[in-house]
Amino acid sequence: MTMLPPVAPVKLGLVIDLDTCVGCHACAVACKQWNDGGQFGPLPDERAFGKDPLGVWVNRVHSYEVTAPATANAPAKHMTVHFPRSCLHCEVPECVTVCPTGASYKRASDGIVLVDEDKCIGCKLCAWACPYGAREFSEVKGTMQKCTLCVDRIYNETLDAADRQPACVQACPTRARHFGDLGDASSAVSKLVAERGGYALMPESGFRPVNRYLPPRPRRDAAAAATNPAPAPAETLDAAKLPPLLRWLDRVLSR
Amino acid sequence: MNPALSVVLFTTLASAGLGALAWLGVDLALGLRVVAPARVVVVLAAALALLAGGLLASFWHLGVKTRAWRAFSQWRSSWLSREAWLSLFAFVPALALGAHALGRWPALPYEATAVALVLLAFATLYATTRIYTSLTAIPAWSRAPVAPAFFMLALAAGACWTLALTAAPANANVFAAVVAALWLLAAALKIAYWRRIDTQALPATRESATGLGRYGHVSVFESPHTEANFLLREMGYVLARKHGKRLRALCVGAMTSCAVLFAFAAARPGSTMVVAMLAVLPATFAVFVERWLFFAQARHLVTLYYGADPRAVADQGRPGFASSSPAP
Repeated sequence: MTMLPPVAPVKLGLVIDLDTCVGCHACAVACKQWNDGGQFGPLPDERAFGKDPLGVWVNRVHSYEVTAPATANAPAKHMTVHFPRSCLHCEVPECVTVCPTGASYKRASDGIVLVDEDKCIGCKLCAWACPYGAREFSEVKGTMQKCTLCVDRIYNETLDAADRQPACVQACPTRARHFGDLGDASSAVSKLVAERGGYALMPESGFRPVNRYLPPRPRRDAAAAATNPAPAPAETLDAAKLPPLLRWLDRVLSR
Repeated sequence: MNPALSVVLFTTLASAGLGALAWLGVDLALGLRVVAPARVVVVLAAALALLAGGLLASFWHLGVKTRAWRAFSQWRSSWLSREAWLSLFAFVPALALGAHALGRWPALPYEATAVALVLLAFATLYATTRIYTSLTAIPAWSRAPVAPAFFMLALAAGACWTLALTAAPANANVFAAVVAALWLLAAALKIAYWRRIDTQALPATRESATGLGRYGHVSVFESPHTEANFLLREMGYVLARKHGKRLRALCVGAMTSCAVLFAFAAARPGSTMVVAMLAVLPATFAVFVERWLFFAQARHLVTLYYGADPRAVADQGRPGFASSSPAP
């Protein structure tokens, strides 16, 4: 049913730290690997090899250069920001309401947006409706693919409790990805968002994304440091405090 | 947006068919006799063939065709589902009127049926426009001239087919004059639409899409993938932008030539059928090109995450790297 369920108190989602993400694509690779073999798999490629490989990945890592313009007393500042992009599991997802078949749906219990692969007719309208590019169409399967928030991991009791989190979160070597309930103000992810000023992407879309991005922290001002090097600290070696052997060496070498 | 041939064909054919059904319904309901009673069946058959051909083309667009029936299930939320139902409903009064015209159903209240046909044809066209205008991720499609232009073109193209199949229509001069005006109005609406999409910026920028605008200008440093993907092929399609100006001129030229032809027919009512037959080709061409451009020149917001200018993506064949230099 593509009518949206009543807004659930539980809003499972991801918090992505743009400060610590190093753009290694481990999350994207782990995502592809799990979703190729998990309950929703396979996630086949149209062409996995060759000159122009093509295939569905539901997590993509962009890299941007952010340039602060030069001011009167400072040169332009440049910053590289790695930016993972996947489904934001919106609270009011238009990709769900436009679906003519009921294949695209939002779970009432935890807010995860999913595609029922047995119902999808592959009309692609949901992908058109999403400004965030969360959905990719599989020519091989003829159906739409998207992030499942690893719903087949997070409730999977055959896995160790520590492994019941999305593959991308578990794979991240810098812990730039966090998973939890953003509807619960006391959850670890909600606190993290509050502490770091986490934000939603394109809030003007009106779809109310659940996922949050943590902004990069202010960088050390490398350019200013290079033009204005601070004086090296004066070396202070109080020979009187050295043990006798080193005091003798100091005296010899100071000659 | 990728102008998939199946979708372009669907809206071109189905809207002409629905336009013809709407005209026929108005004609029968008001008893204008533009379409001679003996020709009602011919016009109906042609209009339904156009509609069915369009629906078949849209079926061809689907990834899993055997499940097409599922598209009827979500009429409560989805305009695509509503369009599917309405386009089928439109067949009912059309077939009933066909039976009546063939003398098989003399008791049919045909004026009321004709009114139902008009309403359903308009409702179907409206549902089609809503599929496009409701997608906020493609800002060009929610511009004001989109829906009126779609209706004008459907009625104008439908009129071409209707008149081309009608010998010696009554009130032909008035009808031809109306159709000529419709073509001019449609051309004016398209020009207004193109002006808007050319001059109005997207409502979002890469800075707002990434939320990084607070730090400065955001440019693409490295693309997430070196080759294309579904998003770039489907949403980042820009081939027609290169020829956009020429295609627009051809489109407006074809619309204007239709208007001129029907103005001639209005002056010489005896020539209506021949003129309409001549106009079918430029009319279909104009609508087809207009639909092609409607897709190819509409920018999807997801392109903001990719290259600075989606043109660079297509021209270079490699996303991202082509556009890493900051905008001037």
